[in-house]
Amino acid sequence: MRRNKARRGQVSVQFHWIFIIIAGAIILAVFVGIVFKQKAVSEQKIGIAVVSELEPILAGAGVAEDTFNRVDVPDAEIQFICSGDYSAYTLPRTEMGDVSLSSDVIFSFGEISGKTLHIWTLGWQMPFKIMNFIMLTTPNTRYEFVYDANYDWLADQVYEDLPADINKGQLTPRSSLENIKSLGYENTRFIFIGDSAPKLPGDFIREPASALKITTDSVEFYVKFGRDFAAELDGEFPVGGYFTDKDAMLYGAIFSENKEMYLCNMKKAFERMVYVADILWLRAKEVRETYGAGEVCYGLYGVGIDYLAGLKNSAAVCQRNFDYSCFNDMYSKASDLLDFNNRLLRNNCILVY
Amino acid sequence: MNRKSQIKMTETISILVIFFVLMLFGFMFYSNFQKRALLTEQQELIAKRAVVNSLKTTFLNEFRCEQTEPSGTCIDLVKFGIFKNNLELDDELEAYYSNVFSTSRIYIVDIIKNTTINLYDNPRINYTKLTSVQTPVLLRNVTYMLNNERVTWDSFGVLHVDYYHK
Repeated sequence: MRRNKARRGQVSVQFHWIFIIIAGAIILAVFVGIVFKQKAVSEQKIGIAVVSELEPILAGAGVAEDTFNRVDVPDAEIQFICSGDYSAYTLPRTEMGDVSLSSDVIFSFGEISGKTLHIWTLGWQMPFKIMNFIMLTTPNTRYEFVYDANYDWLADQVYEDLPADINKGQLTPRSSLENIKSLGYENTRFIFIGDSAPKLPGDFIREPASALKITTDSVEFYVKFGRDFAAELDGEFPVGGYFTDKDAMLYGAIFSENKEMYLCNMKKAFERMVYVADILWLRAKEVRETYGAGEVCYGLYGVGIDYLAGLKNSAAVCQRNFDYSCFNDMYSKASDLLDFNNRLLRNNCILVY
Repeated sequence: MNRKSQIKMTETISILVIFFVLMLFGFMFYSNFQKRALLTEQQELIAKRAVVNSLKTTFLNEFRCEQTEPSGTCIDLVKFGIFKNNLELDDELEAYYSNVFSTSRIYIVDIIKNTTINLYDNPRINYTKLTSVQTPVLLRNVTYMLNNERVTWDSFGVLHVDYYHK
């Protein structure tokens, strides 16, 4: 009788423990479930918040020329993809899908994070307005400018034209390169202005860094390779031909992480130029027909149509293979078209653009 | 004693069941609330997208007037017509601009002549809503023929960008 009672007590105690463990596990599972669900919801919320902030900002930047905006966004990692024909931005830690950027030109690093974005827009004209280039960076990326002695004028110009709010170091002469010290930023981009090959300062051997070499008519992309910088294969491109206050193509190169990002965006820009030039070419043909054969404007337009056709072809060539040859050809035809438009203005004809 | 402990156990189980039922209700209420908040945010995003679409369209260089005119205020009807034709004839071009215009309908209404010129229409499959953004613009025709003479004809119009969404 006593033994039976003791056994029943043992079973009761064991059951109690099993019961506590099962109930505890269920309660724990419910709370873990809630936490996971909440995590997914908050990630989706952040995704929506970032996209909802970014979309109108980028659209606004796409239409307002030469503006600088400092924008606060929810702290999230944003990835910019531009490769071949595909271009988009995405928020890797959320369930938001890719947001297409196939018709926008945005020069930036591939991955950016932080609560503040710096967005600078510059108009791109050749010589007519084609689109705005958007330069996107964050305060986590530092830009250091180093110049050769005979390039101080170009260095001053490039440096002064950058918005003051961009995280940039002092203009440093090449001889003082080693004085540039790492400040622990996520990325450091060195802009070497002059003919000398970029060199990695000793303090940055273990830091993420990339470089761009600028001369009066070219930019060349460099990546970190071991303890120094190495030129990217086929990473040199022409710049220096522009019809606005600032060379948008040059600044595009400064803000692009690498050759691939720059080239991919420039191809998109040339594609757009082909479309805009085609409309202007067809319009010029239509306008010409409204003038009488003997009129001055009729004769002038005959020349203008050829300029536009040539410009359209050069842009198409640059879209396929962006090099010095196509760019020089394009710039020369664009300069001719600018003169031609002024001639139309003087002769009181309808302007081409 | 045995009976007492049985009653106690039943009591504990009942308390736990009530606890779980209350928690389930609370959780259902909260997730419903979250869903609604998320839906509102998505609606706001859609409204912003409609404005973004309109902004992008209004300022397109493809059909703006001469650069002497401020951007976004004047549409060159000759360019507009050429652009419309190109979009209809060239699939590649249509695919490119569908990224700019998205799922929308774009047209201009000439207020003086009371005419409509359609540019683009790409309705979203199973769309349920249409958000419309209208922008007043100057419409310029540089090849307008008046009494056999070419004149530049200006008119007032409204650029409609209707955004299809669910």
